[in-house]
Amino acid sequence: MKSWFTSLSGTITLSAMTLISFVGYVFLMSRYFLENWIPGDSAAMMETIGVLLIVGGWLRTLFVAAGGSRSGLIALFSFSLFTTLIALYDLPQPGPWPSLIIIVAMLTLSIISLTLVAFQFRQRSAED
Amino acid sequence: MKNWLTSPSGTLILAAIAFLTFAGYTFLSALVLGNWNLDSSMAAISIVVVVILTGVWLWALLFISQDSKGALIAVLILSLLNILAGGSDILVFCPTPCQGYWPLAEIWHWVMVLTGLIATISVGLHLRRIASQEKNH
Repeated sequence: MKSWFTSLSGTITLSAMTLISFVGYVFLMSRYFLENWIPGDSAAMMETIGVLLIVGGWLRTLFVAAGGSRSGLIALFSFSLFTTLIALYDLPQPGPWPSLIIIVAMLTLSIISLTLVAFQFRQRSAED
Repeated sequence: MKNWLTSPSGTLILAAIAFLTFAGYTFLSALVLGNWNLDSSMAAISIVVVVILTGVWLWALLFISQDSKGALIAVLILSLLNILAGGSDILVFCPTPCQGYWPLAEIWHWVMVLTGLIATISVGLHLRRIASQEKNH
């Protein structure tokens, strides 16, 4: 079990789960907050493009990292760090139920992903 | 062109585009749902559905490059769902020209149908190629 977690496929799987939790988080935030904060058609268009760039970039990174690329792993680390910071920012004021659940899930998965990617770096450094 | 369409990399790229269209569609749907003032339990149900569909999409995309038949069938079903969702919006829920989030929603509904259709054709041809290869062996 421990060896699966610290393997490349374990790291990719956990990062994919973090991406899923991010999609869920974005879904909830757009439902509860974005429409009230920044209403309007052009705002919706810009937000949709922003979300697609993040999800698309993350997806591409997953494929690149699955091939064993170091730059792919660095990008995965950056995405996990990004979601960790978002979750930490939102944790004190989570909003209506079930926002807290998805924020805690995103935070937990992001931290696990960060740890696993860092472990991959350490393993590669030891091999080099 | 047809070779690229049925190749593993072609199928993967087209399926990834269909997934991104789905991700954008769920985001737009959430904006629309925000205006409906639904209760929290409905939000919880909708988020569970979104998370499950996203999970299946990602699993299928990660395994499609290994020519996994299960992943290809999952992408085929999910692409058909894209067509169904986009088509139902065009015909029933927000008939064309859809005025909600104009012109984004209108464009998105057609993009959902188009990307779903292309991904379905690509995966269908890919599956047929695998089946014929298996038959020859």
